[in-house]
Amino acid sequence: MRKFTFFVVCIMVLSLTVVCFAETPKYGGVWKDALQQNPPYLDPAMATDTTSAEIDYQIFETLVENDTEGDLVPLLAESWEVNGDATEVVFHLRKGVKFHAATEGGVPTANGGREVTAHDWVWTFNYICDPATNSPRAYFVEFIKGYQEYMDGKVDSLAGVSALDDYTLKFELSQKFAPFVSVLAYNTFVVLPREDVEKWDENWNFHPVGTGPFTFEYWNQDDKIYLSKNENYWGKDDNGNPLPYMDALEFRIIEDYSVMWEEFKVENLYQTYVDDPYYLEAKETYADSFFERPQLGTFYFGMNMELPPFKDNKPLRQAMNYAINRELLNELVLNNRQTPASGILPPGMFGYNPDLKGYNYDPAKARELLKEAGYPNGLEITLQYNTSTFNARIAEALQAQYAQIGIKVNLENLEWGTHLDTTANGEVPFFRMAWVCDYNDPDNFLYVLLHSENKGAKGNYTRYHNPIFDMLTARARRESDPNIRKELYQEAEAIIVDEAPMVFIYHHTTDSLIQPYVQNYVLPSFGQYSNKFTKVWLDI
Amino acid sequence: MNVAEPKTTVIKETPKGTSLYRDSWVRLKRNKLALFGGFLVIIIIFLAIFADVITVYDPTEQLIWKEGAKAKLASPSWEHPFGTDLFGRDILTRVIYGTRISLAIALASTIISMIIGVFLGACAGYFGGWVDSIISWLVNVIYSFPFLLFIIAIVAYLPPSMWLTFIAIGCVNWMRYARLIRGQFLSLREKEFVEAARALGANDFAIMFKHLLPNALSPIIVNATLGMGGIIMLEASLTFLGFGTQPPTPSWGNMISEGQRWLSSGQWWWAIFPGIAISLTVLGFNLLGDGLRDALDPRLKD
Repeated sequence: MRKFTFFVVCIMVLSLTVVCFAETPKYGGVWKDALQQNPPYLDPAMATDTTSAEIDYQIFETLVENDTEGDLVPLLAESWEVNGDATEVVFHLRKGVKFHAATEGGVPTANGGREVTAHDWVWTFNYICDPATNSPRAYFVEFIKGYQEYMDGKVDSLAGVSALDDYTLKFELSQKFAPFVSVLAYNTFVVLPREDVEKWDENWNFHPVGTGPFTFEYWNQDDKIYLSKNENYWGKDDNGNPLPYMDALEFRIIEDYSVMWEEFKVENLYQTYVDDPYYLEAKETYADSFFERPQLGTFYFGMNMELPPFKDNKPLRQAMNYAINRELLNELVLNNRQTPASGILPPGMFGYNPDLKGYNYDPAKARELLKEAGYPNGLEITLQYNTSTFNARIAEALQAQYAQIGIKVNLENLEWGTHLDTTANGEVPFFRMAWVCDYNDPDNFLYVLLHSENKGAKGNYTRYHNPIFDMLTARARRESDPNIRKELYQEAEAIIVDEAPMVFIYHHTTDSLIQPYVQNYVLPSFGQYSNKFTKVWLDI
Repeated sequence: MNVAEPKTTVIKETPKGTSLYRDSWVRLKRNKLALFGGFLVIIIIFLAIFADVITVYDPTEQLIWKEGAKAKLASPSWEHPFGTDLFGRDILTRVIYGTRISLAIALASTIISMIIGVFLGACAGYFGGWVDSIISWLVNVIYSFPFLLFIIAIVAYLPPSMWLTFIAIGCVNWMRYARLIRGQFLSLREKEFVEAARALGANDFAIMFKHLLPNALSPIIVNATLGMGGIIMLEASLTFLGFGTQPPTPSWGNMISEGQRWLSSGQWWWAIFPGIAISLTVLGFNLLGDGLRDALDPRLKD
């Protein structure tokens, strides 16, 4: 019996070793990936979109990050403490984090690869919130004490950020702000090397230097972005081996999903988004390496509240919502991959209201409202969207539905950067837009997308303005009781649904298809774009 | 003595005056390939004109909203001989309507480029000197641009629309006509009939467009016909790249652009049928153009 037990133990140990052996990460290789468009910015202070973020996440690092399940975990901070009334946050920084020592083909950086201290964070926050930097996302941290005075140019530094010593960073807030720490995971709030930012000055956007696992090599506009391994990266794996495993990351800019798919099939790409025509085939062929999960995001058509025909015309905006059949669109055109939307908050987010009464498909009602809106014979409008076959498909499908009730929708597609700029400037009456979560809080959807202070590039592209809504969302930001916050947000969302500054279309599902030999790749709940390649390796 | 009546010399009746165009028609009729090309062109023109009479469906009607999944990407059947696309639109109908767009753009941009090209070429060839130098220089400069890129550059700055597309094509395509006309005029302006016209007091304008132009017309006709095919391809390429005609207008380029994504998943009909339509149209114009060239060339008279 004892012998037998010994035998069993031997086998178990042996099999464990085999398993362990098989899972020992391999170093080396170039990760081959694709972006669907040229990123508008690599400067993290300016980046507001997922394509830019996808690259920035590899080069730069934040104090805290969202793990693949969307939970907040430390990154460059080792721990943090929040005081009793949530107006002070103290971060204890990780030691031994160094800026990139070399970049762009081995050229030494201006900072020389020195260690990051709390003073760098203080400088960085001053830089991001500097009115001259003009960061469209600085206002995410507007509750840092002294933010407004600094923005107005009355003082020359941000009072609420200070270094207690080299490894202790303190934030003081002017008022309670519930999602503050989650906001710091956003890709703008990364630590920057002052020397390099000042050296490159207005060309900084094209020569990013950070602390991340990969250093910037080159960016051929509309063609390719190439990053290589940061040899001095602070991260270690569970066995104490240095990270990252990959030698380099290559992101080719491939606008056409069918090209991505063909490139993936011949293994010129390790990861791809799967467009509808290949969806079923991908699911079948790559059953074990095709991932899908709900993403906190909302796809919508925005209606500019300050331009005709939508200005002061609620019946028209409601008619736009009643005219489309979201369920059928999802089922027939989108392969059932998304979730039809009734409001703005995605399912899975705090404050999501499953009983929210949204707009059902009701063409008769839509026609009636159209009459009430002053367009008994219909009208003609132009939908602007960024060039992508996926957007074109949705636009074309909804164009036909609008035609049914007498609304003639012309389509106009523009390159992503231009689309984003013109929309942010408020020049476009009707536009496609989608918002995915920057930090896991309804504040990121309701306050950012619809509060009147955030008109334009800050997020309120529809230029919606309603004092009651403003009051509700502003109050919810300061509130710390979850139940009250939830009530406030649900009330605010009900107002939005009724006033309909957007055509609510669907909530996102993120997906990612990888080659079967890719290891340690987990599709993050924030979306494929937020993946970090620190621990990914190739078993080939 | 018998007096023979003086024999009237029978003068062979002079052949009835035939014009260049009548001659050419006779020669064209003998050219089977050219006739086939002409036949294709006539069919296409017929389809374009009577598109709404001969089709059953509306080219923009999306049947999926009414009939559900069975109308989506349906393979060719009696009901839909060319199948349907993602939105349940009948592809045969859209291919037929596509002839309208293609022909309209080809015709309009050819006319635009002919007007610009003929006028500038005529001035260059007739006046010579510095007028010729400037115009020839302009032609060379524009010729040196990569054609498709130049058009994309123009179109990219303007809101995409069908009208702009063919104006853009027309503005870039006129050089071929300018060159042709200039060459013709250079040799024709020294001819006696020009001197005669001038002696009779005709002004420059009348000489250029009343006397010289009709004599230089045949190469223009040939070139325009041959160019049609090229422009149809160009329109398709532009639309394929996302410029040019916008959905839901049924244009061949659009259909191929979206349809090709579904080729590898087995829905070949979406892209193949408009592809065949383009090939046949271009083939038709090219065969007809070749035939016209041979027919209109007096040196090839048998």
